[in-house]
Amino acid sequence: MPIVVNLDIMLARRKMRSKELAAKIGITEQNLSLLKSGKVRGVRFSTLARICAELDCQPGDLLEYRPGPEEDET
Amino acid sequence: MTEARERARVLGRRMEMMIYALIGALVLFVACGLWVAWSDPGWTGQFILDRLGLPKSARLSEPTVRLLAVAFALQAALMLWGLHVLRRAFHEIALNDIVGARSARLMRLSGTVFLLNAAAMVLAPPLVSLLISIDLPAGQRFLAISFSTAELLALVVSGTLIVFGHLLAVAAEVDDDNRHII
Repeated sequence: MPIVVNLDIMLARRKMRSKELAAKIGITEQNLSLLKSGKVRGVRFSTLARICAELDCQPGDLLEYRPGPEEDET
Repeated sequence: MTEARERARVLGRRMEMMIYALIGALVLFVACGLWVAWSDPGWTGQFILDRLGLPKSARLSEPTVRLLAVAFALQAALMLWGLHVLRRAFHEIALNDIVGARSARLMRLSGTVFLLNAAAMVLAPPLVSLLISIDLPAGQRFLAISFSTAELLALVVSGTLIVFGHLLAVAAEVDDDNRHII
């Protein structure tokens, strides 16, 4: 997948745990884990905004584009 | 949205109970019919001739009455199968969610079975007339072909169920897609 999620890096920088962030932004830990591993099909702007507000960062700090082959979506 | 889905589940349970009652009534009706046909084929034969407006002097033999009873039971079995599959579809909706791949598949299957039943309804009059004609004298034999609003309605309803099943399947795919958007 060309879009890489660097959420775990930002969590480490802000010294915050996934469980804490998930509770603060109102999504399940499982969904946050899927987001961290890039196994989601998309992210809503509202979710992205809440993550950026909690981690005090920009969307570009969380998402990175690396050209490469796309995985088959089943 | 959760409330709406919960209401759909409750409706699914109610539909399931209603279809159970319908299946029960149909089984009872068919069982009574078969019991009467087997225990008193003479009376059953006269009843059939009266319903078809055939001369009272005609007589249906015991094997013919029993063959007619089997034909009747086979068509009822198709109807029961369709109702059973439809009940399972509503059971799936009541248990899980209104939008699901399994309930969509069952809805489509029930439509297909009802379509078969509609075809059986069209084939029934020629078959029944052929069976009855076995016992009638040469000059009174007949072949009945009929296509009425009942058959048309059955075709429309079964087609609607099949299309609805397809729509549910597409909705299930969209729902699954949305679940993977955080």
